[in-house]
Amino acid sequence: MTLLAARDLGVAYDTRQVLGPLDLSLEAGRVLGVVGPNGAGKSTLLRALAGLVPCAGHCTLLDAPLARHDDRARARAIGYLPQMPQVAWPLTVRELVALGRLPHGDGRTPADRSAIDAAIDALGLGPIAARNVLTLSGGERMRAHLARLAAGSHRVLLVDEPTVSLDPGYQLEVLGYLRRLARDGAAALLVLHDLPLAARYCDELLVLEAGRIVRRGAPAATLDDALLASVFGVRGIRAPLDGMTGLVGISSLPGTEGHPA
Amino acid sequence: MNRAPGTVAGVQAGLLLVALVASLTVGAADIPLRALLAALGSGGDADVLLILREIRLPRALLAIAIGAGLGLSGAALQALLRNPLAEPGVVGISATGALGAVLAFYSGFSARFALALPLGGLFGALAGTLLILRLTRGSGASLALILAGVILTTFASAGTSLVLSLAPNPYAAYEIIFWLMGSLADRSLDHVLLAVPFIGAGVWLLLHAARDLEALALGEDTARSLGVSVARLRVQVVVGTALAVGPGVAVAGFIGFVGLLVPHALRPFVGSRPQRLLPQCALGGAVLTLLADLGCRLMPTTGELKLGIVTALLGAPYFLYLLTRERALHA
Repeated sequence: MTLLAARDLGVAYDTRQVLGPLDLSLEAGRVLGVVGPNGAGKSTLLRALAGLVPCAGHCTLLDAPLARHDDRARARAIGYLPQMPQVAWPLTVRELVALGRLPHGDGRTPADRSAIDAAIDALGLGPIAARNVLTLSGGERMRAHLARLAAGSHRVLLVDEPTVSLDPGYQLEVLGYLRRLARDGAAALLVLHDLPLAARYCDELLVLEAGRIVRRGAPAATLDDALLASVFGVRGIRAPLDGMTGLVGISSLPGTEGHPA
Repeated sequence: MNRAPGTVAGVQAGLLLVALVASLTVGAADIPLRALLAALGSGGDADVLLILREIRLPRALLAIAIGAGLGLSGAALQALLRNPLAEPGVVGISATGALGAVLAFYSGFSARFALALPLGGLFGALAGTLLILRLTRGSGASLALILAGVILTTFASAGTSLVLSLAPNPYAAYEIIFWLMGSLADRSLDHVLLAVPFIGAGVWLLLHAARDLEALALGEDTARSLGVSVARLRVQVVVGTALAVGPGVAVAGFIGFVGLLVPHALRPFVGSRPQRLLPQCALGGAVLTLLADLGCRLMPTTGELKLGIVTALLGAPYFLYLLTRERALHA
């Protein structure tokens, strides 16, 4: 079931087209990964879908044009987690998670409370629910932000670089949790830089280069050697993984140091 | 972060009551508590009633209203800009309010029409607010608001200095300088009637911004993704601040740093969340301003100390301390 669809989606700053026009759709239960080199327009795509930058084209949310939803209704349906989320002043973990209920009400109704409790439990934040978020480690803090996202009970999740600055254990935990939210019925769009992780945790990948979609499809088929070389200027390292051959790492192309000339 | 806001509010209300009684009884003519109570009832002494109605009550009411407006708008601006150094003065509203009042004085309107001075200050603050909105429209960034405030303050201060240097007689310049220092002495019930309704409207606007300000803890993008209209919120806070601060500047001059001192003093007790902090800062601003005004009257100086000087002497070193602490954090 398509929850969010975009047709001819485009973003331009002044006269410079930085994204699109492109088409995409987010399906319930599926994780769509967006990968691409720096400056490809990944975060812009996410912000456009979240309604944070003006964009051209037609977006449909839950079978109605996106523009027909008011701010609160859109916020209830679409959850957004920016790259390296910030907290401007001291909040307890529970207060942070409760902010996720803002589109629904004042955070004090029984439905609000049970959603907050469930999100805190799901991420194992119970023992630190009364702690100041600003004193937590990076991994714990990310968990608290994920719980904020989960408490919003959104149908569509837009998450920008959730694994940045996390240690490997937390990276797997965060992606695993987002995939579980999708399996429970949400549609997730994740911007990722780590190609092996993207290949492993996403159901479908969308490769963005200079604002355009250059390839989309199942991860293994999408991230083939030709695409890795032409878009990222790298070579894939493949090995047996979960019973099949998967992308486990990347290396520089012969004769180059990282980026292509 | 989740202490007892009820207790803090109770302590503050108690302090406010004590300060109010002291403000009504202490002064050039001491009014015993018994006489005050009698005057509040029916059978008061005529002289006592006259002093209360013409001198003490306007002064106390103005201190409460102006202080509440300053404390609340400081806390609201700090949340909006997510900058602990923000203060009504920072966005330039106090400075343009002062310029408006100085112009009313210089043009001679205030000599012919007593209310021209406060009205000039009021329109100055409103003009400053409209300019701020125009300068920041479409940019969407809080940084733009700070920069616009700096520009506005510089411009308004230069305008005020220009008027001062062009003053036709030394006495006029002298009077402007004294008014700029900020004081609640010799204010009438007319001043109260002119200022308090506007301040009340500003306080109402700011208190109703608290819920949306909560979301700004996560930054403007995330707040918008949570359904908060950040553009509307910004207008609400700036207009609320103009109303809460402008008329105060108009009738009492420049009373600085209340909006900085009060939120910082209260945060350790009630936390930083706007829904908790903002109402407490309205109360705290009233308490601080009333106490500072009382201090002005009690200081054994030949002339009465100016309220603006007292708050600046308290606030400026604190501002410096906050600034060095900020630098240490970012070093």
